[in-house]
Amino acid sequence: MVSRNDAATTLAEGRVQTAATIRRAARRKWLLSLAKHAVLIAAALPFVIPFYWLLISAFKTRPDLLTLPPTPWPNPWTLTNFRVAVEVNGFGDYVRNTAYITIFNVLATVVSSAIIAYPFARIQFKGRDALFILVLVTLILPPWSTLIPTYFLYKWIGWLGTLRPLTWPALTGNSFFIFLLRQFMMTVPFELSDAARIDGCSDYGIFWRIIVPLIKPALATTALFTFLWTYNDFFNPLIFLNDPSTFTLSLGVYQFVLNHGVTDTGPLMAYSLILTLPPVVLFFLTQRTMIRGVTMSGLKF
Amino acid sequence: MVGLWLIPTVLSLYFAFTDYTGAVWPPHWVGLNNFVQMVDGTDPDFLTAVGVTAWWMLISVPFGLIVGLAIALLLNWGVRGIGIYRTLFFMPSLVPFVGSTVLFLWLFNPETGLVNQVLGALHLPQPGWFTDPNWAKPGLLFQSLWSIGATIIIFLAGLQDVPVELHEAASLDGAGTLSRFWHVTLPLLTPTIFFNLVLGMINAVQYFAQAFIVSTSPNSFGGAGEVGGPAGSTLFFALHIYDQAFQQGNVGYSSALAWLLVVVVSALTLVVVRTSGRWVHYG
Repeated sequence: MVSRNDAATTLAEGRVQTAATIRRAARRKWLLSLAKHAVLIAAALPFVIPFYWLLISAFKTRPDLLTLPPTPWPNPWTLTNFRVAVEVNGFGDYVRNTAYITIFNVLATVVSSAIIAYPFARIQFKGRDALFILVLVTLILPPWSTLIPTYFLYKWIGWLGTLRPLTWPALTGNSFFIFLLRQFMMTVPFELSDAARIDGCSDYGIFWRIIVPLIKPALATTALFTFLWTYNDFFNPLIFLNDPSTFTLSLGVYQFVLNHGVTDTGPLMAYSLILTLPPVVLFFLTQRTMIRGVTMSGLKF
Repeated sequence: MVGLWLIPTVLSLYFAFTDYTGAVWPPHWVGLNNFVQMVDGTDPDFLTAVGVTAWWMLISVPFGLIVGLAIALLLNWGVRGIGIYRTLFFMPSLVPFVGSTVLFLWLFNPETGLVNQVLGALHLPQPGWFTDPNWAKPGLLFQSLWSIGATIIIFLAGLQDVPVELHEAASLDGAGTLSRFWHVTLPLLTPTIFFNLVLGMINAVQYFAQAFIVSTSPNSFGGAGEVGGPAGSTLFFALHIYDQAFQQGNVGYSSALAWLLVVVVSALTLVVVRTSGRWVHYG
């Protein structure tokens, strides 16, 4: 028979044991989470270090940049690189051109893609499906199929040397966003537009008062990605802009590389950092829209 | 809009069968001659360009999928502060690629770049990267893997759609982590893999800007100083088209090249889509 005292001791031991088990489990969990963080940090290093290098290189002096082995921290810090980058020939023009082209494309693409998408989604007319298939074909075919003659067409009508090749085409919409917006417009219940029509609303009124407010998220995605694509674009400016006064910031960075050497790395990194700033700021302002845009429609930039 | 697209398309097809140089109009009709010139040795760079692009497709696309999926799996662990990690992996993708290409030129500079300095400190060989025909493409591969953020996010979204109950059920049946990955996660992820594969292939075949920037950058900055250099090691097919059309003045020939590219892209996409039924599972 177990005495009362013994029983109490066993019970207490059991409790101690349970507490120890819980402590051990908690410790194991803590260690596991620590290991996970360690792996994540190790994986993130190759992504972070180049970014870090871009940042600090922009603030290093020329001798500091060429010191071997490289120093992990600017000593001393300098803003000279930014001044050199900003004072490079044409920098002001590049900023103005980039701003103009980007704003033009965002506004024109959003408005014209929405207007073109509307009849495809909401109005029955003859040949609609055939026409829509053509839109899809222009979306699927690589840009290379039209690039070369487009260049010569612009040349013949005198557009080369102007910003028009990078702006006016946006007025015809972007087939990808026409497709995206059409899909969104089709989800708006027809009861809504039918009711509005009975109340005397025209197609124009339905578009502005019913469709547009209901597809705002898709319009935001269109605006955001048009901004990023236009701003980041290197290919089209390279081919269609041949007058240095029409160059964009991206082309400007490339020109800087062509005209300078490794001794001007500091200003070049400052230049690249200036180039990187708008998309990064935009990301932190619109993080949710951007992440949703990537996951919902698979957009890349 | 369709008309605006149709005119250049028809014109482009017409160019492909002429000897247009960009100067004399109208150009001569040469029939299939441009296509014959690709393979009869008149254009020795044609096969180089095909080889470079094939290498890129076979290497960069699988690497992109594997690295993208691996990082998405890490992000899906559910540790605290996941938003911070996600931002860290995504940040490089926000750098406009002219900026990131220039940054990699600097990182991979054979003499003064960070990468070779670290390799030297570890007593490892220091390749010439963008100045060495054997290392230029691997250098570009690192650059492209650095901006893989969008792929990671698409994979992460796919992973988060995998129902937790399936994992729990598999665990109860005694499946380990690896087995659950193979038999639960991966099959459910095939639509996402398929999507990233198609996008990756289309982009790989048309890969242009980054290779153009590193190869034309001057030697003093760690570039090759010639389109597609050094020694044609980065002469991607799109670079060859650009070079022929806008620098050599062989507009007709380059239009033929462009159409070949269009046909190849379409055919590849079609093949992948057709064979996808065998391995893509739609839940």
